[in-house]
Amino acid sequence: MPYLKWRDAQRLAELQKKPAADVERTSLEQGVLPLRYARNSSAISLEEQKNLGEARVGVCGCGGLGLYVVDQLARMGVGQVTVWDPDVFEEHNLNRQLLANMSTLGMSKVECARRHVEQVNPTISLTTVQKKWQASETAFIAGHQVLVDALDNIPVRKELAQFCANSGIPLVSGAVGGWYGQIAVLYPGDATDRYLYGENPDPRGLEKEEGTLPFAPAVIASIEVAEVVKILINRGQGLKNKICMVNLLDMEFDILDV
Amino acid sequence: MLVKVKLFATFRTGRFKAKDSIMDEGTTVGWVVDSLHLPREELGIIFLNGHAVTPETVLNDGDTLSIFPMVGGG
Repeated sequence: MPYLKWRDAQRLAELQKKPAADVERTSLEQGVLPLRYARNSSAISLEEQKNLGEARVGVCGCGGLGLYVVDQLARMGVGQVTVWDPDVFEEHNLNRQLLANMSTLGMSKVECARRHVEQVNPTISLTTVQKKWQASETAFIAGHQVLVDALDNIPVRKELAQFCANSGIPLVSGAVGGWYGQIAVLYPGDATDRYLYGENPDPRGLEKEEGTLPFAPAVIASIEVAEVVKILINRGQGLKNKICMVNLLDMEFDILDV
Repeated sequence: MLVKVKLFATFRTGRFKAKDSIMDEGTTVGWVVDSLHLPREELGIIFLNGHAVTPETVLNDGDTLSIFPMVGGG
């Protein structure tokens, strides 16, 4: 298969006076895969890679889960990504959050994500929103094909699930705590969120006591991204009407029907 | 009637992983939860024979009840 190197994409962009992202898009349409995606193929077809490039995905939360999700979406070549998070990096993030390090303490998480994505894949359009995800600006949010729940609290998770159900958007939901995690894909009309979060008005997740170990968000976020990609390319068996429970302490993966 | 109760993640701590229990007819999922002192606010997904149920669900002989704690971190 012929490949387009980044250096050549940049040269063509200069000559044609258009963004390198457009050069890569045209290249894909002509059957030439940008070299950055060489190891995506043939697990991902040329047509699927093109579809990913035209997709728009929203990531709600840019912490333990969200940073891994944004990183992998960029590496997969998902063309447009939006990420919401109001926070800056703090010391207690250092055990698990992808871009948390001594030099980013005090810096905005979404701004660090933007700089990271520019380095990983400059053809990706990353929109950063440095505030809590909330069900406002509904037309903007509803313009995403898939939303990813990478939030850190249950009340806003419920609000997001309700928003997606009302807007007809699939929601890929992941949650972590201690050695454990869960993933589900919520489609409009499903009752999955009712079982995920129960009906208790004041739910308390095990992460309040257990904290979160570094590998748990890496594993759960990676499964979330796999689910997002399958929705976007419409292939494979996803977690529709199923919940995947992960126990990394006893190494148990339970996939349960809702 | 005989019901197999399986606990997951942190609910196992100080309790058990799986146990066969003799219960009265009409026992609900919620009664089992309370008898094991599992705090309702920490209750996550509950599965009965592989399908999600609520605490009001009534158990039957031969059922397998799986109880997971709530997970909400990100």
